[in-house]
Amino acid sequence: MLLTKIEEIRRILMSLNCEFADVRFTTADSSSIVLSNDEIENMGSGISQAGSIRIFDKGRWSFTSFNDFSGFEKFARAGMENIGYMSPDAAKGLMSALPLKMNKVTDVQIDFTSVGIDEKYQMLCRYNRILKNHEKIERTSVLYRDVHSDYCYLNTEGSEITYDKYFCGVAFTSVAKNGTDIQPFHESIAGYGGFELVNNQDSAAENVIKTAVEMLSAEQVKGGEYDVILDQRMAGVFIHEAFGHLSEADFVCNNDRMKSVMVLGKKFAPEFFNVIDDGNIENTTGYIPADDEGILPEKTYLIKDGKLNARLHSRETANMMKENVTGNGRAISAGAKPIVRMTNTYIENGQNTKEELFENVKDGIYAVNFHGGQTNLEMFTFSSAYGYEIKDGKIGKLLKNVVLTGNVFETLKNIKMLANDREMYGGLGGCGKMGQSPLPVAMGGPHVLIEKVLIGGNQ
Amino acid sequence: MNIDKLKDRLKKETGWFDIYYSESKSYPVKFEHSVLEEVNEYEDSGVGIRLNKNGKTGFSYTNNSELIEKAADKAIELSAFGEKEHLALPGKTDAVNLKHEYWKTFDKKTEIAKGTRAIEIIKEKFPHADVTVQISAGEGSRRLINSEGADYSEEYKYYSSYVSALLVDESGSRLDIGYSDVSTDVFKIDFLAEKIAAELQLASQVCDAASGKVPVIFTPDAFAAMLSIILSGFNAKQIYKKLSPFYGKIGNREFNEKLTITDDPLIINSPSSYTVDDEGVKAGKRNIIKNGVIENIISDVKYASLLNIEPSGNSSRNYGGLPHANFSNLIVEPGTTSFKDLCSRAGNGIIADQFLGLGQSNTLTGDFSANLNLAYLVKNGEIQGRIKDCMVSGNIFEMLKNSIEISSDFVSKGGSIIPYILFENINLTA
Repeated sequence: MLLTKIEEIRRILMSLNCEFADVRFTTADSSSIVLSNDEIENMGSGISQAGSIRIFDKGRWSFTSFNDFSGFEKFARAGMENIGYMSPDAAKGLMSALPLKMNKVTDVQIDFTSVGIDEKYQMLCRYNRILKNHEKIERTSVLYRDVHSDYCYLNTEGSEITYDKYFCGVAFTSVAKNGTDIQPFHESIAGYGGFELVNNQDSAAENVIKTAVEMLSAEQVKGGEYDVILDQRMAGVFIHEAFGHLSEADFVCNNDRMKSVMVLGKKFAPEFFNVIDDGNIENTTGYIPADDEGILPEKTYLIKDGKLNARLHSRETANMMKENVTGNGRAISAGAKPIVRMTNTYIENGQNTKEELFENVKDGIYAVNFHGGQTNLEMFTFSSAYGYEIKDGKIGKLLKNVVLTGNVFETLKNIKMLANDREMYGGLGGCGKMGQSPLPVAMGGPHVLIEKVLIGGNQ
Repeated sequence: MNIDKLKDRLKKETGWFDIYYSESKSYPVKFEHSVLEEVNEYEDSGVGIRLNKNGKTGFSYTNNSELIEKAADKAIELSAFGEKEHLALPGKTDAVNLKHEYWKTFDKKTEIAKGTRAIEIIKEKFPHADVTVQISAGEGSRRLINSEGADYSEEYKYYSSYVSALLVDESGSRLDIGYSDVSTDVFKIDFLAEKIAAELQLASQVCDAASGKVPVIFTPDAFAAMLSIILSGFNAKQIYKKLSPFYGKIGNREFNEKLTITDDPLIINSPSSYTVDDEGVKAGKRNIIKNGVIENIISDVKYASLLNIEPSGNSSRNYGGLPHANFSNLIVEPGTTSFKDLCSRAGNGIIADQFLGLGQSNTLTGDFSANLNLAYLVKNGEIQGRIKDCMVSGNIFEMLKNSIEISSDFVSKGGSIIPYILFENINLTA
């Protein structure tokens, strides 16, 4: 249905008197089922569409978004008019690129649009039975969501990109209760692909109920400075939150002070430490066929041998810093403006085994699975879902409310060892930036040992 | 979109139903890195259909005006697998729309001049500041129709402004301060810039803090962030699911008697106000907490019905989702002590303004642990400067139950009112 309008849209786009303009259109069919305990909280579906036109001329931007495709010409004119309110700025430009022609049709094992509602519902009931199968479980919830979308991108350079996406996921929650102590535990599994991604996740549901019940006997962590081992997911959150955002060029290019901090070649971490962002990895949630500015994704080494090697760019930031585009101009939907975002971000494997990391900790904390994280680009805070005490290299008591915080630059220098067991993680959530949330991304790494990490809690 | 045609169809084919249609336009003007960056326009409209057929509920939405019939087909198809429920949707009420003072014209040139001036105010004192200004006007309408004869329409307008400034020093250390306001009519924005300049001045001095139990004053922004964590506990859905820490405690004194919190949807010139909620229930002012006692909860029709109570008139929705209960204008009753006297009472302590990671708290137990993104040291009742790299932790419920002091000074945003609050004994890890 998108393809039928391409000719007319291209004609209007090419008639605009501007340096650069691009348009994006999507149509999507989605369905969602939410079970809470044994009740169906939502049995819903949606048919939606979104479009936008972005115009750049002499340093001036306008962005116009809409859901009524038939009004495209009117919106394009409004965008040109809005440019007129601004003064030209010769200092600003955009990195140009060769026209990209792409027409990608996804092939999935089990097409969820042809799976009956009844089958989806029965699957959720099965997971729900697993999630509530303990006397201490107070509540459960199971969520299923799928979206099939068609995407179309055109720009004044002559690019024409169309692709479709199949995205689906499930989320599990068990809430355990003992007296006044209530411990929820949550897990989600999602990705690009068909129903096969979600229909065989019984073991993930079993892990959710097990952990929720175990958390009832977890102890409160005592605040202070610790040697900390991060598991693969926490390592991923750490690098995404603490360093990934700092590598987004829009945070750097307009601020002279930040530029003087984020100098390419500057040593940030030990020599064995490498960090990569790569949107090409097809089966992960951070995968993109092309970014939302018509640029192919790159495998970008953000940190190489401990030194700052590159950063993530949009066309605008690449031009401003005279560096190469990296294919990281992404938008949460066709109705939102592309900004510099991560894709799949990870710490490369090290030389050690996980066991060797533990042998090097006398008195520390093992932070497992992640609950959430936030950064202001200098300080970060992220919480693990739970943790364990480490005494003389051995795992001890289960701990709850493990919240790690610190200064990014100091913490990177304090990384002591990396294991060789990297895993990637995505899920149904995503990353938030400038009001665009949740954008699908993936993150990961091997087990990481960091010294002197501040953990909040009672004195 | 032919909503009336859809209504006639659903009347014939289903039991009860409601249709929610909304359309919105907004005109944001955005300054980034201290210069005018973009002039934008957003437009969106769509319809959400909730229906019950053979006793079971299904939901569907679309924002493609040509596919409304198809969306209705889908909702009907899904309802066969939906939950059995009978909702007593409200019929017509005698409510009339509030008379707000709405903006008449949104002149982009005037607004660009306002933003430019706000940047100048900050730059005069802090030439290195990286200033962001977002000014937006919005307008639109919503319409709710249901099977019980309700048919409400309302047109609305709002104006909002957000100003923030970022300072980064040689070491990469960041100071980021922002303020916003919202109304139904345009307003001057100089005061936001002036407030930021004053705050940057205060934070430019950096002090050291020591770990221990200290008195902590939460600014209105910090207090609002804290309240947002516990407010979900007053939602009928959480109570019904027994996921609220206040389950079984309505009518009990759970907080310090100095704490009174009201939800008031009838405040003039607030874009968050309404006289009929998004399910057609007449709205009104309600105490949530009165002198420390939990008096009321907020509810939508579904969870009010499951709890066997009257819906509170707090239902909120967009076309793409099911209705849910939400607060309108939240008012925390100010106390009698000025902010200055609150600092004197704190003596040696800290003022917390911004947190990093507060949202990761356990909302059920109230346990929290958060980095202080922006906080100040208070010594002998006087603000000394900014403190960094430290965390506060504790239990929100315990804090609000124990000794507190609420200030007479407050910040009003749209229709909400939030004062400062002093807690006496909080864990600080530095």
